[in-house]
Amino acid sequence: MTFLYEVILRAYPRAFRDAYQEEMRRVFCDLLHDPQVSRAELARLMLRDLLRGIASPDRLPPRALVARGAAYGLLIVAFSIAARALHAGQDLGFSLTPVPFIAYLPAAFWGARTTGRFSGGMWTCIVMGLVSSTMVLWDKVLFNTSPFSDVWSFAVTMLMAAGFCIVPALIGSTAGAASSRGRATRAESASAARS
Amino acid sequence: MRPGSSLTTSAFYILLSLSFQDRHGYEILKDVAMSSAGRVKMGPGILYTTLKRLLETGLIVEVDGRVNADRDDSRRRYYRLAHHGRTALAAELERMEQALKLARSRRLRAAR
Repeated sequence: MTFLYEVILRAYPRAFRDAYQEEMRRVFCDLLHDPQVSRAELARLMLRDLLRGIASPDRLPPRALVARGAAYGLLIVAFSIAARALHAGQDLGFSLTPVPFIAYLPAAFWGARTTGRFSGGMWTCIVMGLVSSTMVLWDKVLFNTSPFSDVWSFAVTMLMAAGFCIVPALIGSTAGAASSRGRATRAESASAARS
Repeated sequence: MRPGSSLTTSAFYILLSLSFQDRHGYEILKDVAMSSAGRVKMGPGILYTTLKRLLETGLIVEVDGRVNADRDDSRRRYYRLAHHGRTALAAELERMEQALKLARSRRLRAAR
């Protein structure tokens, strides 16, 4: 049971664990040795703790990041609809297919740069991907076509998009962390100069 | 938790528990289970995520002092209801009382 609870603790964000895991372990041991708490009840509490850890608000992205990711996704949808409506054959002398994919690169960079975290870039791309994937529906409704032959081709395309996001998100998070350090150093220098 | 917004069930019972005395985590768990007649049972995860939120919003504070020398455990963290927390708890109790009054009056009217 103790080992299992150690695993459950891993579901919580690192900052939270650093602050509270000792106390949580102690309370869990108290519950474990409490004769009034049955094993079934303890298992129920552990399951709820696991779910709470996974769905911790600290893991979720900031609302502004989600909104920006959704806006980028809508832009992709609008671009794709416009391209298909205006140029049914998608023939502009070059292929339009990579354009939405290319949009993931600056989006991943921006998300990671703003938050200073790799996850910020990936969250932006996830939200953007979820919104832009509704294009499948719009294609069917507006043009009666389906850009993917089956579920697998859709999944592979989404994975490719996720793969595109990794490098710019890494670069963005490094740049974001560096500029945060720079700002902190400048603020320290300014306060030292004032005093 | 915004000022003026209603408390979650677990936050409400934690504040209620701390309104009597400073307590550590396990004491809070036991007291909440008892005062809610077993309806609210929290694991350490729910307890400490709620305590963290209450600390961040200034409704409770962590204290160093111990309540009773005979049951002190220096390894444990103790929590105390802050002034802001007492106000929030009073406001929540007031809101519940109003809702109860309203529910009772409607039920009486319906019975007529």
